[in-house]
Amino acid sequence: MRKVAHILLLLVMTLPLHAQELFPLGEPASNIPKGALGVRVFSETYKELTQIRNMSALRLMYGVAPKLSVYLTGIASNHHGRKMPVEYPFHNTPERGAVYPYKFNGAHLYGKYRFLSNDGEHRHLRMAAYAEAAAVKTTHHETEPDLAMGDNSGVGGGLITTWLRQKFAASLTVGGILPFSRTAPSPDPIDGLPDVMVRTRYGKTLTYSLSLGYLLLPRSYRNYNQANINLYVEFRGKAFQAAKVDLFVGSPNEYFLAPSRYPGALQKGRFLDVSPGVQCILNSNTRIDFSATFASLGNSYARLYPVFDIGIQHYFFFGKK
Amino acid sequence: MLFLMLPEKSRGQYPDAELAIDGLTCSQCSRSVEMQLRKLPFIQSVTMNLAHATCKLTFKKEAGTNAEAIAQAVTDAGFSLRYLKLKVPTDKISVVSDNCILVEKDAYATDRPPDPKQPYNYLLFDKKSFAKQRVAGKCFANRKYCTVKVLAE
Repeated sequence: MRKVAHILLLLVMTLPLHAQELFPLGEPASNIPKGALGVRVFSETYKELTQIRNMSALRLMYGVAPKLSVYLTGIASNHHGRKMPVEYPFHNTPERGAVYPYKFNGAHLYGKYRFLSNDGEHRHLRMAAYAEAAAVKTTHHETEPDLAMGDNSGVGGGLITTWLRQKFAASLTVGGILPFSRTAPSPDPIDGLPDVMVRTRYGKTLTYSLSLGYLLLPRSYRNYNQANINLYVEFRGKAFQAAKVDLFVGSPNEYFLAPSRYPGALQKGRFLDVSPGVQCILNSNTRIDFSATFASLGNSYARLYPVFDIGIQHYFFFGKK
Repeated sequence: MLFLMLPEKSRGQYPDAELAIDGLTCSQCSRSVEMQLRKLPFIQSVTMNLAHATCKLTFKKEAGTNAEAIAQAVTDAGFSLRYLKLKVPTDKISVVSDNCILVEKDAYATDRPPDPKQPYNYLLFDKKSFAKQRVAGKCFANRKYCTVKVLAE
């Protein structure tokens, strides 16, 4: 599948000019129109041994100003238990195949400000800065943080550069995540003993992505009712520090566990995933996205491949006649 | 090239206008621009040409027409104005001097006078038309509703 994605990338790059910047997984530098309200429902699913892991979210997007958009997302998933794994972090990290309840994780806030617009006829080059923050209550047991998917609380930010000409679009995003630490109980393997309070300081992370899009249909625009079909290939990755774990937090025997004793999921790492996708836009407003994510270089411990994403989005315009 | 000096809304003297937008790349983008234009109270109709990123505007007869508001609507949608071409009946234009005309209460600094032999002349605004402009004082002397703008260096 990795080879197929790479071939698709080569095809997209050699096709004659033409695309879309409405990437299924990434954000372009463009904004939502001022005063418009966007509603997006999206979901991510993958199989973890005998379990189906799912994260679903409802996102409200608002165009505050022509250059400023804000998003608020509520996230729910069955990715995390109420406690850390038994004897964390020595064993079962990450805890594959465990039954976790489906619960509300928390919220994610995102703001994007476009500071550069070089527009021409059927083309543009734009740059935007974004900032994000998440407040969730989860027991994430990999060092790799994720704010948008509700794995971690924390803050982040970065820059987006989007180039678009006719039907082809390319967007580069580079950013960082500063995750907040989390203290949570880990059951003691010996029955009758109290839970061990464990503090995990997740790794500071550099994020990077390259999204490519191509407008397949229509070949020429006649009216708003024509269905738009867009093809995408997105490369997304992270480079993150090792976690830092303290055991018996708050008790006299609290101690810092040396990273040499961590399992792979808490060690530093980096990866690059590839996500081919297809999008359909109906009546020039309702957008439906499908994508699948595969490992390309390295891999993430936080997900098992392939990861399937689906999203549906619609804009509401107020004050129209 | 005619430059804009638009201190007040015009009173429905423009039959129609052609608008061209930069940065448009899809029908969803065009729809966003059309939605912002339709919010303007003086707009009668918006007809988008999706293939060429242009549209034709018609105006309500009794409502004021504001070129700056049209340009702002394009910006609010997230795109840029390439040009706005307003169609003006020649008999509505008063020539004040070689580089200044009045269209009812709107004053414009121009690079040439209108052609009196034509039934219509066109006011063409580009991306720079709405930047702050300084106009020679004599053109707008004693016109309390005119605003002197600062020229870009």
